[in-house]
Amino acid sequence: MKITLTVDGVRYEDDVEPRLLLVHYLREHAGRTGTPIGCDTSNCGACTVLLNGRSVKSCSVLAVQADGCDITTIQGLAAGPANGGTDGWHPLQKAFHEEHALQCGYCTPGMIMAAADLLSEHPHPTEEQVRHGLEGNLCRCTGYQNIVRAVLKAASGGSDPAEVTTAGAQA
Amino acid sequence: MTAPAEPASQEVGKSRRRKEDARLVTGQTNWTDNITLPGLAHIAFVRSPHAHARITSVNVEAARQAPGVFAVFTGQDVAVEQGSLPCAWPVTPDIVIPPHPPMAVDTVRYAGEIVAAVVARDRYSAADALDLIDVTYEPLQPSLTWPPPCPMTVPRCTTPATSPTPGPSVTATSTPPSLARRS
Repeated sequence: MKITLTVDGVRYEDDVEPRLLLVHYLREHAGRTGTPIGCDTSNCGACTVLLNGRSVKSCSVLAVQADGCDITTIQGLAAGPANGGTDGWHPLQKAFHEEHALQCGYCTPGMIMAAADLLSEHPHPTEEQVRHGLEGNLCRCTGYQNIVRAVLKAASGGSDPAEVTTAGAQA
Repeated sequence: MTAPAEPASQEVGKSRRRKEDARLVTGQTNWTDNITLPGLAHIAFVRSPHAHARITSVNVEAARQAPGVFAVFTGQDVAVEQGSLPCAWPVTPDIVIPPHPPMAVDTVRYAGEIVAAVVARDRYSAADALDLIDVTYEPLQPSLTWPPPCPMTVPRCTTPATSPTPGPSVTATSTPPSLARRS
């Protein structure tokens, strides 16, 4: 089937098998290997991308379902040079770095993309909302404490997440 | 010896930012799964749906003829080629080392144990060929308690002293059961 979609701002037209998974399309056809496959079973969320701004586990979406859609992967999130300094990084990318929200980094693209959707829906989430919003994403090394802290920090515009939590509790 | 430029006390206890994060938070890491080499093949496995069963037949001929398939292996093929997975650390002279074939040969002992493997040019061809492999099982009673009920169907056990390379003998289903050897 012929599909047309935009991936990280680049328009693609392709002829694909109807059964091709979106994550395989992104990795093997569009070369966006920044989106990893963690479990192949939609449990872990490592392959999360934004489809028209909403987070989806790309192992659970067919490429043909993304026809006409706008996909953003972790590689399309930073506005600046990916391997240079942190200039141009998305606030979530900066916060994950600053709050030590990753160890091996395999779940990180999915965590950040799921968090991006969460923050678009709840720009100033409570800790509870962050934990609930990321419940579909598994991390097997760092644990979730620093990930939650990083998302809260990004939501607060980079200030100390402890203050955000306190402010949220007072509000 | 040259004294360090700064006293150690100024470094100890300081929080440090990780140096490897740039590529990890921007999706630039070259994970093993990202690497594509010339001639790279993909593998997919047929797995047991039973917790415990005797394999009565494995028919892989149709899978071997499937488009894009390079090779199909059964547990028997691999056992003949490779034998049992070795015990790297026999900690005591009397340690009991059961045969451990890489893939099930004549008995499956857990749901999900590998029964056959397909190597193909891409993952979809490999997965398609799995459907063409016909395995028949004779279900056995799984052991849900310890000690397991008699008669046991655990594999015959060997020790390094008596049988260093079990090889294809992993097909043997004779007793004695493993722990009986300890007494």
